[in-house]
Amino acid sequence: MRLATTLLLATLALPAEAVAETTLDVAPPREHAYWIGDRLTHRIFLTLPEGHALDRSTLPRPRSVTYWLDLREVAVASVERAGGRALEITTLYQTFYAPLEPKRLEVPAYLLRVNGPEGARDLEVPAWSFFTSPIRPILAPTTPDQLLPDDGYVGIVAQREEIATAVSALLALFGAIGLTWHQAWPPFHRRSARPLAVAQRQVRRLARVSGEVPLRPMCLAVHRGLDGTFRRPLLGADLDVFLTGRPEFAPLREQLQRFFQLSAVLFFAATDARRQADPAIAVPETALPEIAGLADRLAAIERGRG
Amino acid sequence: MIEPTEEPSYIGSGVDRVRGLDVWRASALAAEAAIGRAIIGQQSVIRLILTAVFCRGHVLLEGNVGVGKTTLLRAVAQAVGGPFTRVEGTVDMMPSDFLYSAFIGEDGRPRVEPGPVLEHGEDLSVFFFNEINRARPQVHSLLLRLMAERRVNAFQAEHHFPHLQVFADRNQIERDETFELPAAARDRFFMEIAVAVPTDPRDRRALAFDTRYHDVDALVAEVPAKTLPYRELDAIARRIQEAVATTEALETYVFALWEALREPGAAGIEIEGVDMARLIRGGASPRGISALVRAARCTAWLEGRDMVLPEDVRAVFIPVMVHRTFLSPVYESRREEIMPALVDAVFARVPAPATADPR
Repeated sequence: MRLATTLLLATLALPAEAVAETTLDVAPPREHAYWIGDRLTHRIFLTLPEGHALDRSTLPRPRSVTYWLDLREVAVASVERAGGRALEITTLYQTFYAPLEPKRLEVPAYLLRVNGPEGARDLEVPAWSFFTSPIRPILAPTTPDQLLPDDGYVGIVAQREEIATAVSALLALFGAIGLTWHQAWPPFHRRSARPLAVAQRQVRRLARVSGEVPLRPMCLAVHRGLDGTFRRPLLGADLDVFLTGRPEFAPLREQLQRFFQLSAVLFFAATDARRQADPAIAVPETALPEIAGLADRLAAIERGRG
Repeated sequence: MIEPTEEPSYIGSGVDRVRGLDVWRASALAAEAAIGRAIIGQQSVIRLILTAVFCRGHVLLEGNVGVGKTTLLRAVAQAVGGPFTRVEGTVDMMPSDFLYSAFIGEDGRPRVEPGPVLEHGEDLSVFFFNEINRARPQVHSLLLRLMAERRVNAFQAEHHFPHLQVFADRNQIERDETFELPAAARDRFFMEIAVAVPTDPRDRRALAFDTRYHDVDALVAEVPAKTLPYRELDAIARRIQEAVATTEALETYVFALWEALREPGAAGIEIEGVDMARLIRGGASPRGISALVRAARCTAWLEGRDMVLPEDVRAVFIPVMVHRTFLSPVYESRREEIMPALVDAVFARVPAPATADPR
């Protein structure tokens, strides 16, 4: 049976013609036939006079009310009621009480605050109770076949994912290598070529060789170094063009000119026999240290330490 | 011949062997300067023509109309001296027009007299052929023999021209009614020299406004005549070739250039838009490469050296070698674009002196 309680509350300190009633109609759920886990919906209809409002902060919050009772939901709605407007406050409880025999349980009361011109006033929503019963006889035996069977085991076959992961990893690796190569990041960066440093090393190595003075190979080493710096074979006639393009070598102009003269005599003048007979085209004795010195200075300028 | 009046002075002269060549060199440089005063802005062309003169090689000048090709050749002929004759190439010219001059005599009877080539006898020094590409292949073939052997047959006798040097020019403007020189004839020309408008704005201004350059005859007359007597040139040319040394390193260099020009693909040369394997149809001939060495020796001599440097080879490479290099027909129309790129790539590829030099 539905229990309905009407509380009539007269407002205070208001003129007679403005007096209206604050009513609180309570519609609790049925009183009996509940099992563990059942939900109970409790409703209140609150009618407020003009100028009054419910303080919503006083509404109960969904929570674990006690160890066997949860308040799951609280909802407030404005509804039509008896020709006027009323607030419908719905609270949804769930019981987790496991009784050994049918038992009455009480849901505690709580307060709602109403703010009006005359000040705040508390209304009590009264406690209510219901009966709950055990689901099965307490002494009935428990057997494993009463349990639900486990879900079947489904093995996960991850081979495709493993292949996809490997392919993705490879692609990522190749992509990274490609990007590194394209951006010339290490180890794909190219150090600026240092042909003159190579020439210097060769000249130094040749200078240590005992026996006949290796002037020609030394000259060739310097030639190749200069060719590499000029990016094409550098002839003596190109010296001005070379020094215009690489002015850092300009201080060596005279030495380079002497070098090209010496190289011309060594490689393009008459044969050795004729050279020895003609002092005008003989190779000076200072040629070797001159070439070595030139190679050193060229390499130093190339490194930016000239 | 002229004997030296002073001892040779330049460094590296082989003293006795080139005794006298110094004086000739001074004459050559004086002639070069005199021609350079008459024909301004063409120093490199004049140097090349003089090189050809001292190598006894025939010269083909190529260039636009009115850049001074004929004036230049006349000035050189003036310096060289000797009888010269001049022929204008025309489409209806026949080989006999070279040799015979046919006309009706005063007595009303047909007469045949020696034509342009024969009229000066065997002393002919300079043979001008203007607009050579207007003449037909029959004429080219006669010219070929004249250039190669310095001989022609006429009046049932063989005529020999020991001092002959052929100067020819052609313009590049018209293609109608012109005949491309056959490869054999082009190969017989020692040099093909491109003549362009002077690059220096002052020279161009002078050519336009200075009245001195408007009278071609007076201009040519300014060049001292016969400073390079033509009868001596053959002997001088031989002595220059003997006096100027080439070494194994230079031989290696020239050979590498030759190989790279003949087979640029194998030498690793690449030109954009050109299939290098198909580019060269006929490579530079052995005659061409020997001309290159002769011209390089002469250049070295004119520079006052008795040894050929790679620079000397480079200075004459384009005029001596390029016109002897024949491209596949598909590339022949782009010759003016491809050949400079090819020559540049060849020189960028061949080091001097080469590391592989065995010595």
